[in-house]
Amino acid sequence: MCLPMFQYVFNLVHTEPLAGVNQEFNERPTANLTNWFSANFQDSTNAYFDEKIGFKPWLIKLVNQVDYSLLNHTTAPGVVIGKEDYLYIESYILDYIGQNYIGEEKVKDRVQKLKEISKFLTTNGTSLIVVFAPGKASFLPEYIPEKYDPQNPKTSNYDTYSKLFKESNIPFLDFNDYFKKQKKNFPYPVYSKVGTHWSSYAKSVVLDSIIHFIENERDIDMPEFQFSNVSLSDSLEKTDWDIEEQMNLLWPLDHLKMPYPNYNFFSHGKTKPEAIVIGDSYWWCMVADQLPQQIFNKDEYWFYFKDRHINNAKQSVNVAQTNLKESLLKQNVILLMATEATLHMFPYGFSERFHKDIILADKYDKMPFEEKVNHWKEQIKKDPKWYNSIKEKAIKKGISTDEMLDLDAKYVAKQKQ
Amino acid sequence: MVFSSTIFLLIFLPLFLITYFFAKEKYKNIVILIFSCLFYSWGAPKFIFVILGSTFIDFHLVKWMDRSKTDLHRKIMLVISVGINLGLLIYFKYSNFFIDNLNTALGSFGYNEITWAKLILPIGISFYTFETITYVVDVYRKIHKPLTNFWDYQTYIILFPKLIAGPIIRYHDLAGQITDRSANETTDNKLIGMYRFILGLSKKVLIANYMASIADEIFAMGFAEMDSFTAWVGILAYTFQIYFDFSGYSDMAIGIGQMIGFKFPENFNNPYASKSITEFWRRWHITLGSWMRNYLYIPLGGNRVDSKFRLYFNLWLVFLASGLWHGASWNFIFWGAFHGFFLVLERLFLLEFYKKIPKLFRIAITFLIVMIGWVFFRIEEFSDAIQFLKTMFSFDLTSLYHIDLKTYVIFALAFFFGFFTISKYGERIQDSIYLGKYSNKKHFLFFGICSLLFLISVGSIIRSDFNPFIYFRF
Repeated sequence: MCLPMFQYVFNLVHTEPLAGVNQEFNERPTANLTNWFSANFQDSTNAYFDEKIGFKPWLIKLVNQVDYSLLNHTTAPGVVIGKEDYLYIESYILDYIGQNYIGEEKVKDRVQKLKEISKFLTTNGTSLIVVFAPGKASFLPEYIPEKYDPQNPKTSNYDTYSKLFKESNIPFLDFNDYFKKQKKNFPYPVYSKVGTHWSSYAKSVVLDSIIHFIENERDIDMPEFQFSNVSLSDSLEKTDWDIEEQMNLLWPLDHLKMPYPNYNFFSHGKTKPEAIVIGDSYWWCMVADQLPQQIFNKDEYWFYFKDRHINNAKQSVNVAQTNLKESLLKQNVILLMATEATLHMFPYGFSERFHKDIILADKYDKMPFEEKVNHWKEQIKKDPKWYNSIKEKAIKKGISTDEMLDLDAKYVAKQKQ
Repeated sequence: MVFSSTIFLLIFLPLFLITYFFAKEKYKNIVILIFSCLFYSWGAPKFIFVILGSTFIDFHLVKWMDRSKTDLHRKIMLVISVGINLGLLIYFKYSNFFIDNLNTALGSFGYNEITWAKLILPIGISFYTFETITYVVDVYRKIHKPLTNFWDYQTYIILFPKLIAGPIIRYHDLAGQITDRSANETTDNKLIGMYRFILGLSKKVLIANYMASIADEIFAMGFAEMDSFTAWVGILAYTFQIYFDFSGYSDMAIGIGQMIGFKFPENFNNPYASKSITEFWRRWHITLGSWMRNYLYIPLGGNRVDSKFRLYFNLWLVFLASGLWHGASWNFIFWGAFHGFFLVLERLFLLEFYKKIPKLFRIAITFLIVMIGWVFFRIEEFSDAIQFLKTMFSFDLTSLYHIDLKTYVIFALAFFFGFFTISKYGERIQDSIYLGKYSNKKHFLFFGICSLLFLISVGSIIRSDFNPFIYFRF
C-alpha cells in the first residue's frame, strides 16, 4: 500500500512509460485558502496523483494483462480482439460491415466534386490520383468477431466509392481490391496479427505500383525501386505492433514473423515529380522509412488535410493556414490516399476547400469587372451587418441604398483586382 | 474523498495508518480526528463547518439535557437537539424536493413559481445526522451517560471510515471503544481488518463498477425499443451493482475500523439469499433497519399497538421514511412504499404461503420482488419505470445486447458471491473469513489473495482515469 507513495517520492525503480499521451502535470498543485474552499486544489491534486502516482504504468499493465489473458477483454480505445488473437481497430470493421455507411448520395456528391477538381487540375498540368490502401478488416474478415456478423456485410463506403471512382475519369488505384484478389499469392504476410497498418512487404508492393502508375499517367521515367532480401523477423517494427502497443500489456503477444525487405532506389537520370500526399495514417509507414523523398522531389505529407509534414517534421503552418493555390497548383502529382477506416471522412475537407479557394477564386478572376461588381452586391446583401452599414452610409450621403451598394461593390471589386 | 480513489488508497490511508500505529495511545484519537477532518473537508471544504458546528451544539445540548432535573426540561432539550439535526437534514436534503413539488403545484394552478437557488447536499449528512440522534436519544432514555470530553464525541461523529456511507453506528455500540480499544488492537485484527478492507474494495471495483458500466449503458437506451433480454441484463446488472457497491463500501469501513481497534456492526448479510422481504430487511443495510426500528418504529408503538391496522400502517410509514431517506425524489418514496407493501402482505399471509414452498423458490420470488423494486429505485420517472417493467415482461427475446466473455464472468462471480450463503457450507466459509480465527497458514493464504486483489483493484482504479489520446497517427 505504501510502495506507490515511496516510489512517487523517491523514484526507487525505473518504470517504462505507458503508450498513449495523457494529460501533462508538471507541478504539484499548491494550496491556498481560495482554491481549498472552492475545492479546486483537491480536484487538481486528485488529478495530479492519478497521473503521477508511483508504479502507475506497471499497475495498469497488470490489470490490462489480467483482462486480456483471463477475460479476452481490452479497454484500449477502439481496439477489437478478433479470433486467434488477431487485433483490429474498430473503425476498419465498421466500414467493412457497412455500419458507418454515409449513404450513396453523399458519396456521389463527394466523387462529383473530386471529378471537377481533377478536371481543373488536369488543365493546370497536375495529376490528381486517388489511392485506396488495403484495409485489415477487408483483407482478413475471417478473424473478425462474430458479434459484428462479418459474413453478412452491408453496403460500405468502400463499395460505393470504389464503384464510382472506377466509373469516373479520376486516376484511381484500388489496392483494397487488388490485395483481396491476390491474397493467396502473397509470399509474405500483408498484415501482422497485432498491428493495424500494412507490412513493409505490402507497402513495397504498393509503392512500386504507385511509381509505375505515375510514370504511365505522366509519361515520365521515375526512380527505379527494388525491394529484395526480404527477411522475416520476430522483432517487429513499430507499425507492425501499434495496436498491441496501445494495449499496454505486461507481456508481449504471439506474433507472426514479419517481412522486412531491403530497399534500393536508382535515381540517376530519373525524374522525381513535385508531389503532395494527402491522406490518413497509412502513408506514415512510407514516411517513417523515408521512402517518399526517394521518388518525389520532396516528402510533403498533409495528414488528414490538417497538419503539414515535410520530411517527417510537423510544420508550424498547418493546412488551414496554407495558401492552397500557391501550394497545390505547382505540384505535378497530388495523391489522395485513404483506407476503409477513414472513408466516411474522405477526402477530409480537401474538396470543399479546393473548390472555394481555387476553383471559385479562379472563376472570379476570370469574370469581367461588371460581373465582379454584381458578385459583391450579392455578397453584401447576404450579410445583414454589411447591408445595414450600406443603408446607414446611404442616408448620411443622401443617396439611395442601391446607389451606395453599387459604389461599395465597385470599391471592393477594385481592391480585389 | 472516496475510498476507491488513488489518493485515498495510496496516499491518505497509508499515511493515516503509519501515523496511527506509531502514535502513543493518548494521541490516537487526535490522529483520528485530524485525519477525519482532513478526509471530510477534502470532499466538502465548506461543509466541514456544518458538521463541526452541529456536533458542538449537540454535545452541549445533550450535556444540559442530562443535567436537567425535570422530565419536561429533558424532553425540551431532546426536541431541540433532534429538531436541529433533522432540521439541517431536511433543509439540505429535502428543500429542493419540496420547492420543486410546490412549484409544480403552483404552476398547475396558474401561479408563478418560487425562485430558489438549489442547495448542495453536505456529504454524509444522512448518516451522521442519524448517529447524532442515536446519541441524544440514548442519553435521554438513560441507556448511556453522555461523553464528558467533547473531542471524544467529535471523534465518534466524524470517524472517517463510516462517515460518508455508514454503517450507521449507534452511539451505544461504540461508546466504550472511543476511549478504550486496546483489547481489539491486536495484530490479528489489524490483518483481518486489512483483508476485509481489500475484499470490500474488490467487491466495489471489480464487480460493482463493471456492473455499473453495463447498467448505465442499458438504462441510457430507449426503453420502448429495447428487447426483453436487454432489459433483464440491465436490471440484473443494477441489482448486483447496488449490492456490491454498498456492501463493498461497508466492508471497507468495517475493515479500516478493525485495523484501528474498532468493532463496527455488520451492515449486510447476503441479502439476496433472503427467503422473504422481511428477512431481506434483516440482511440489507442492517444498521439503517436497526435505526428505523429503535428510533421510529418503536416510538410509534412498535408491535405493541392496539390494532393490526395501526401496526401495518406504522410498518408502511417506516418504509416510506426509509425510501425518503435514500433520496429526495418520488421514486425513492415509491420504492420504500413498494417494500412496505410486501412486508405487510407477508405479515398478512405471504409468510404462511412461503412455508409451503421450497427454499429455492422463496429465494427466487424474493429476489424477483427486490429486483422489481430496484427498477423504481433506478429510474426517476414513474412512467419510464413502468415502461421498463413492460419491456422486461414482454418476453421479446430478440437479443440486441451482446454479452462478451468478461461480462459472463463478472455476472457469474456476482451470482456466486451474491448467493454464496444459500448453503450452510457457504455460510460457514463466510463466517470463517469474517469472524473466524486465523492460523498462520490462513494468514499466508489470505495475505497472498488479498495482495493480488489489491493490486488488481488499484490498477483498475488508476486505469479508469487513464484516458490516453492515442497519438499513434491513426
